[in-house]
Amino acid sequence: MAAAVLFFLFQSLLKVDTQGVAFLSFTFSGLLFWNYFSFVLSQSSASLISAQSMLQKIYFPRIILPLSKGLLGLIELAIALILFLVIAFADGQVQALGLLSFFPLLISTLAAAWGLGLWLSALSIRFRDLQQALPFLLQMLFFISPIAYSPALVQERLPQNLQSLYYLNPISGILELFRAALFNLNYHPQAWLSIIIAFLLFISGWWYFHRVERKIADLI
Amino acid sequence: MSNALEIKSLSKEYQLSKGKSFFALKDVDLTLEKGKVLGLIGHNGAGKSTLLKILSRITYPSSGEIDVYGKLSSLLEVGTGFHPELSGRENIFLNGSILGMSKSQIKERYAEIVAFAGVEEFLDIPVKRYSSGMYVRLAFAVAAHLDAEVLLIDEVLAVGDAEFQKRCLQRMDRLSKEKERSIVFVSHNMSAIVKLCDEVAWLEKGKIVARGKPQEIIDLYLAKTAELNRDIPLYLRKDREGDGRAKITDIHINQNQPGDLFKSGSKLSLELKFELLKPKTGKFKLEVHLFNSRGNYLSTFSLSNNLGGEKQEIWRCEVDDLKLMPGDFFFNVHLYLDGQRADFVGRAFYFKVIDEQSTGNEIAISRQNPGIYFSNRWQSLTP
Repeated sequence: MAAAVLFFLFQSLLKVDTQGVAFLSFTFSGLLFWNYFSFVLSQSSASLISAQSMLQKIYFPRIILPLSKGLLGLIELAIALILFLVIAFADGQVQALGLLSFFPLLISTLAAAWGLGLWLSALSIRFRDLQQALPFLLQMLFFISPIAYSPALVQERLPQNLQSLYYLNPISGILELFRAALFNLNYHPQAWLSIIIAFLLFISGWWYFHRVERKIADLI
Repeated sequence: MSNALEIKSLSKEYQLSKGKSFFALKDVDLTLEKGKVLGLIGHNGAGKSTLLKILSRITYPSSGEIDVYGKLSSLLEVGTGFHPELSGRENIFLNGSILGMSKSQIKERYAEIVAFAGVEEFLDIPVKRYSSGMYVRLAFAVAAHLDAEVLLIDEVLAVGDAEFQKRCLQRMDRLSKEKERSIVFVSHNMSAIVKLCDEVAWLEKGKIVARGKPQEIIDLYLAKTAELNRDIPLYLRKDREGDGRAKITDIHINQNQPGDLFKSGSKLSLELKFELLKPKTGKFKLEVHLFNSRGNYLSTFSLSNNLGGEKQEIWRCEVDDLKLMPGDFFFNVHLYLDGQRADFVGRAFYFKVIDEQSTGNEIAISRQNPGIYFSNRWQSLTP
């Protein structure tokens, strides 16, 4: 469904550049990571508030709540992955060996989603409105991430010294690296920055969560 | 004897606003021996529940130290850590694994838990659809049957019928006596505390006021409670329950005796006033419950009638030759409008029964637990 909308919007109307890859393969490769990312992020940031009654009644390591959502998302991801493989092989542009990059990049996606999820779940105890703001944040992130268009589209418009800014969004670099491996494309050398950002998010999120963990039941 | 629980100078401070804070607990020291039952009593807001929450690691103390020896399971307020979306069956396993039990260990207890809770037919529906009775029954069954060395129980007896309450008490008694489990038990039900506990601690404003044998501490507590409200005129009392559509403003006995003395065997004439928030017509029901100083229920005088449309209603209740044993008694008053409780005042009126003919039996006096006196005659049938 999302792919159909994107196809109509980006391919038929705007005729965007997809780096010479068939549009469906290209967009699906992006949605694969994006859907997992946004699922884990939105579920984990709401996880504390939705388990409020348990938090006030029983002890268990609180961090399990946001982290468990990463596993939950894997079911949907597995289905999407099969669908993607069918489409990608049908389009016939896939480097089978490049598929191996899926796993390390998935872990990076998870790290980014967990990291942000830990931050947001811990912050939303104090600032509940964050839960209302999250859908907008996700929508914005969706459009600035190169899911249905080539990252070059943005890069061309950015001055040379600001190019690395684009990779502060972990999704940008992860998608670029995945497609580079899968479709044998070139990638921006600074795309690696996204991976570092993803893990920095995870480490800082973990740190912050543990810092407020003790106050959760009092504040929620 | 080794300890199951040690609490050293525990404090819990809540920030109310900038610069203002509130101590829910202050310098609490407690120990609980293995296999013993500790009762916690005190008024609402005394810190009982906060203490249990800290013990179960849900919230953290501001300062002080706690040592718990062994696994700890808790049943706080109504319902334990149940996930509302999960079924009863899944919640049993969830709680067991949170306690660190393996799947096979939980399976061993499973049948027992289900039988105790009596929810066999409902095990596969989410607990959010359970009635409150079913919920608390399952919650107690889980907490009381899983492998925890220390058990924290907060006011479970407030919900559930008498039969279930009895089974809860029996189960807790068995756990402590046969299995050497240690229990911390919070309740406002004093007779349950006396029955179950080996020791009682009385908390007031976050501090432990007294600690010792159950009956002694409870007597102290009840006496203090009585004193607190005794001197406040009824219409000024704030410790009411009900929806507030009416207010019981006065109750006294009209007696020739000076003070609030009542002569056993004479006619009790009780006068009651209540005010309606808005004058209206409809049905009302007054219930006056008679208790003795120990807080044991003795009898009820009740009246159902129609409202006259006035703002204030005044009624008198007469009881012919009310025979009570000498001692202290009090009334609780309930007022219902159209079947809904509009007002309730506990310990609304105290009076002292004197007895010129010495009708009281010595046992009641020595136990300070006076009851109703029945005149009795004896005759010898010995051939």
